[in-house]
Amino acid sequence: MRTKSLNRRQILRGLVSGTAVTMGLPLLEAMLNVNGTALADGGSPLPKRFGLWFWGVGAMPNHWRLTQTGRGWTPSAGLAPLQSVRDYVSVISNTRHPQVPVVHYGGQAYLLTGRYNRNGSDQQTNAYGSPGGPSVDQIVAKSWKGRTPIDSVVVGVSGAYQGSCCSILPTQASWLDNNVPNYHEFSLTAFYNKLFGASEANRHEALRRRSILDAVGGDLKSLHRRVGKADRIRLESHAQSVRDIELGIDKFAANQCTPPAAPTDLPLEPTKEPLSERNRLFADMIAVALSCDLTRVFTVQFTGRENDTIFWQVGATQGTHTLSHNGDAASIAKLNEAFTYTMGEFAYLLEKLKNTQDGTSNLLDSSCIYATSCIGNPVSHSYDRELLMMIAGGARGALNPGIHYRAGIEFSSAVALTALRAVDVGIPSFGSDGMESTQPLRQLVNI
Amino acid sequence: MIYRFLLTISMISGLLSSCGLVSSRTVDRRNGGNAGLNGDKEALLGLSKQNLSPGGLRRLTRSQFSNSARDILGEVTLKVQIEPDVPLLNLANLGAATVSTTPRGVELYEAAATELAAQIFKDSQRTATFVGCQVDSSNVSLEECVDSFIKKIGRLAWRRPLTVEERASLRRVYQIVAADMSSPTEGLEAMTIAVFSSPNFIYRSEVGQKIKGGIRALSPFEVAARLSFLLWDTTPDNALLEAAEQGRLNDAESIKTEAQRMLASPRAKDALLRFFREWLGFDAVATLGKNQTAYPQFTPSLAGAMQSEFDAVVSHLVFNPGQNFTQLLNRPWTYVNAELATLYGLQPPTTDKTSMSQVELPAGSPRGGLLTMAGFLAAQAKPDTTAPISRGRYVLNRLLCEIVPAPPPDVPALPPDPSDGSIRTQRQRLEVHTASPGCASCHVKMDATGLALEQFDGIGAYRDTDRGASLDVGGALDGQTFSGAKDLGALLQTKVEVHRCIVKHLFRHTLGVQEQAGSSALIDDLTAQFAASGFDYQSLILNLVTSNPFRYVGDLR
Repeated sequence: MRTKSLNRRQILRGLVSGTAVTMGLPLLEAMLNVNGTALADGGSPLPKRFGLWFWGVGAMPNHWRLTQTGRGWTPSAGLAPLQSVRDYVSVISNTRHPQVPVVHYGGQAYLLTGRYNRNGSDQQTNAYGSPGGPSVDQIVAKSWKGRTPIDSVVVGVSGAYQGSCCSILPTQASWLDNNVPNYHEFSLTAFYNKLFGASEANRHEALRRRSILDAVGGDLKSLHRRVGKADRIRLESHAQSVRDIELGIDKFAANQCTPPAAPTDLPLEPTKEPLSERNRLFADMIAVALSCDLTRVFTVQFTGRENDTIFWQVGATQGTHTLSHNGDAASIAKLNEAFTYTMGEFAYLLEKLKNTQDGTSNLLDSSCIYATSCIGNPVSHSYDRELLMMIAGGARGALNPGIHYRAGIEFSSAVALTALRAVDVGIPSFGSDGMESTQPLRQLVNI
Repeated sequence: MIYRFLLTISMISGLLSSCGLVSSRTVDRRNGGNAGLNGDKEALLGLSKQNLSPGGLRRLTRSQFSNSARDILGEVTLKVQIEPDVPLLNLANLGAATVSTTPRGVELYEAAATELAAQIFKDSQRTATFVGCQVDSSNVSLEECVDSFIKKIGRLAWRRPLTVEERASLRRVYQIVAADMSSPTEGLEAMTIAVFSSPNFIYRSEVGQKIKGGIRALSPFEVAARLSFLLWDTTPDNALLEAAEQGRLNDAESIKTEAQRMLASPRAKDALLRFFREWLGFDAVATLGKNQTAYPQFTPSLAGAMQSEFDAVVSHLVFNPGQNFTQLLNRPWTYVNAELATLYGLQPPTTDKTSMSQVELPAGSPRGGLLTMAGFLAAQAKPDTTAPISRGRYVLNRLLCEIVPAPPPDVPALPPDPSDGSIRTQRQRLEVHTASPGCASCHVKMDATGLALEQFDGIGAYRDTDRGASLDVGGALDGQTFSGAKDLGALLQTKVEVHRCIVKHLFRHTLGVQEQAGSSALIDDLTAQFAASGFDYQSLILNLVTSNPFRYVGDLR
C-alpha cells in the first residue's frame, strides 16, 4: 500500500523561479485515494476526457451496417479495424436529423453543434446558413475551462479539400460559437510546440538545474566536513536554501509529461498525403497530452467535410467527394476501402488511449469520444437513418460501451447529448428544429 | 626579511613588541616544502595559537565575485545583482567572513552563474577559445577534452586542483545534460554553472591543515587566494596558481616575491583603492546628494571630483615610492580639477580643466590632509548642514580605532535655532553634551574633534563664520590642544594610536578578522616596522603578508 500521498494541487502549483505555473501532470497513483476512485485531496472526482473524431463524406451503409444489436457486435467489413477495441465502442445506427439545404455543411452543423442557422447575417451565411453554436467538443471545453493548461486541442489530419461551392465555407469540424470557426492545427510541429514546447524546454531546464544543484549540494556537504562550527552553520543555511530550490524544481519536474519524440512536419502534398503517419503522430501527442492532463478535450478531423482527400494508400486516384458523386461500382469500392482505412486510423487512436495508463485504469476508460461524419450515404448524400455515429470509451463508468444501438424514434441529437452527459456536462437539451433531445440513450449509459 | 624574524621572536615570547633579537634558527628553510604542511619544525615552535587568527570561510564580495568571473571567463557582463556585501567595521572583506547567504542569495548565485556561462557557451567562437578543444560529438577525444576542461576551469574557479570526487561530480553534470540535450556544449555549460554556483567558488577557504594543537597551515593555494584577493581583489592568476602548485608559497620570501609582482600591477591600485574607500568613507562620495537650496554649488561633477581627489591622493601615497603614508592626514598638496579648485579657493589649473592635477597648497591655506578634503567633509555631513558628531565619530572610529557605542535610545534632539531669529552654532547646540555627564563620556572627544571641522560647511567649502556667528575651532585630544582641521590632522599624523589604527584596518581587511588580544603582538610589530620604514604603505603590506598569521590560522571559527 502506498503511504505517500501527493497533493495534486500543490504539484500543479510547482514553483519555478518564483513564478507559479500551471503544469500538466500524469495522474499518479500517489495522488489517488486508497481505492483509486478519486483524488486523495478530499476526494475530487477523477478527470474525464472528451474527444470528437470526425471524418468526411460518410460511409456506404451496406459497408458498415451491423446485423445484430446489443453487446458484442460482430464487425462489418467497414468496421473490421475496430475489432480490437470493440468492447469500448458503441455504434448507433438509424438516427436522423432535420432536413438541411446544404447537406454536408448543414449535416455537420446539426451533428456537431445541434443547430443550423438557415438565415445568416451576411452574404455567405445567407446562402449557406451556419452552425448555430459551439460544437460538442467546445461545449465540453467551455464547461471545463481552466481545469487544465490547455482547454482543448483541435487537429486536422488530411489537408485536402474540394474547391467547389463550399470552399468559401469554413471547413472546420470544431466551432467555438455561432458562426465562429475553431481552426484546426494541421502542422505536426506547431501542435507539438503548443503542447510540449514550453514544458519540453522546462523539462530540460529542470533536469539541468537539478543536476547542477546536486553537484552544489555535494560540494556543500564535503566543505561542511572541513570547516569549524560557525562556518558549518553558514553552510547549513546555504544547503537548506539549495534543498528548497531543488524541492521547487522537483515539484515542477518530477511529475510532468515526458513528451513523445518531436515530429517533423510531414508534407500535405494533395496526391500523396501521409494520412496514417500524420494521424498516428497526432494521436500519440494527444495521448500524452491527455495523460499529463495538459488538456482534457481533443478534436481530430481525419478528413474534412465534402473532402477530396485522395486515398492513394488504397489505390484511389480521385478524391473521396468526387468518388461519391461518380457513383459507379469501382468508385464505390474505393470509397469503401477508404472508409475501412479511415476506421483503421480511428482504431489507432482508441488503441493508443487504451494502452496509456491513467491512474489505475487506462485513458480510453476515462474518455468519451464522439465520432461521426457530415452525411450518411455518400452516393445519395442521405442523412436520414443512414448516419453512422459512434461513442467510444468508458467515461469512467458513465458509459456502457461496446453496444450496437439501433435507434427507433431517437434523433441524432440524442447521441451527442449522451456523449455530453457521460462527461457530466449538464446541458438540458441538444438539437433544434423539433428534433431536440433531452434524454441520453439509456442503453448506452450508466447514469 | 628582518621583520619576519622580529615577528617570529615576538610570537615566541608573546611580548607585545619585539626586542630586536634575531635567532638564526628562524632562518627560513622551507623553500619548496610540501603543500600545506611545512617541514620546518623549528619555525613552528615560534607559532602560538593565541597569536593566530581563527581560520574559516570568507564569502567573495560582490566585486571579488565579478572580478573573478571576468578573469576566468573573459569580458562578461553580470546583470544579476548578487547579494550585497555586509560590511563589518566599514569593511566588506571583514563582513565576508561572517555573513550568511540568504535563500534569495543562493538563488541569485545560481542565476548569476547561469548568466555567466551562457555568455561563453551561446557563442561558438568563445566556446572554442575558452574550452580549448573541439566540443562536438565528432571529436573522438571528446571525453579527454571534457576532462581537461573540468581540470582547467576547476583550478581557475576554485583556486586549487580538484579532487577526483569533485571532477567526477562535475563530469556527472556534464554527462546528464549533454545526454539530455544531445549536445556536449550544453553539458559543458551546465557544468560551468555548477562550478560557479559551488560553495568552492563562492566561499574562499582559509581552513588549512592542522599541524599541531590549535595551529593550522594554510595550503599554498589558500595563501595564493589570500594574496590575490588582498592585492588584486580577484582570483589568483595563472602565475600565482603555478607558484602554489610548485610549493613556492610556503615561505615568506616567495610570498614577498609574488606580492611585489602583484603590487606592481595596475590591478593592485584598483583593489587597494576599493579598500581605502571603504575604510575612509569614500565609497559613496561620487553619488552624494545635497540640498540644492543650501548648497547650489554642489553638482554631481563636483562630487565626482571629490572622489577623484581622494583616489589620486591615496594612489600617490601608496604607489609612488618614498611616500610617507601618514601624509594622508597632513600635507601641503592635494589633487584638484577646475571645479574642485574653485571650491577650495585655489587657482584653477589652466591646462586641463577636468582631470586631476597635483597642486601645492599655499602656506596660509586652511587645507591640507584628509580632514580638510571636501569628500570627507561632505560625506560626513547632513544634506543641508554640517554634522560635527558624525565627523568626530569618524575620527574616533576610523582613525583612532576607538569604538563609540550607539547613543542611548531616549536622547532628545539637539536644540534648534532660537525662535527670536538669532542663531546657534553647532558648538552652542552641542553644549548640552558636556553639561550631562552621561553624554560627556562619549561626546567629549567626538565633539571636540568634530567641532574643529566646523570651519568647513556641509560640502567642504571653507567658512570663517556660521551664518555670521564666529566659530571656535579649538579643542583638545588626550591632553593635546589643536585649532582647526589642519592642526588636528597634524596632531593625528604623529599619534601612534593612529599608526596602529592604519595597521589594524589592513589587518582586518587582509585576515578577515577583528584583532584580538593575541593580535597585539603582530599589530605592534607591524606598527613599529611601519614607522621604521618611514610609513611606507607597501612595506606594511609586505610585512603583513610575510607574517606567520598570514599563512597560519588558529582554531577554526
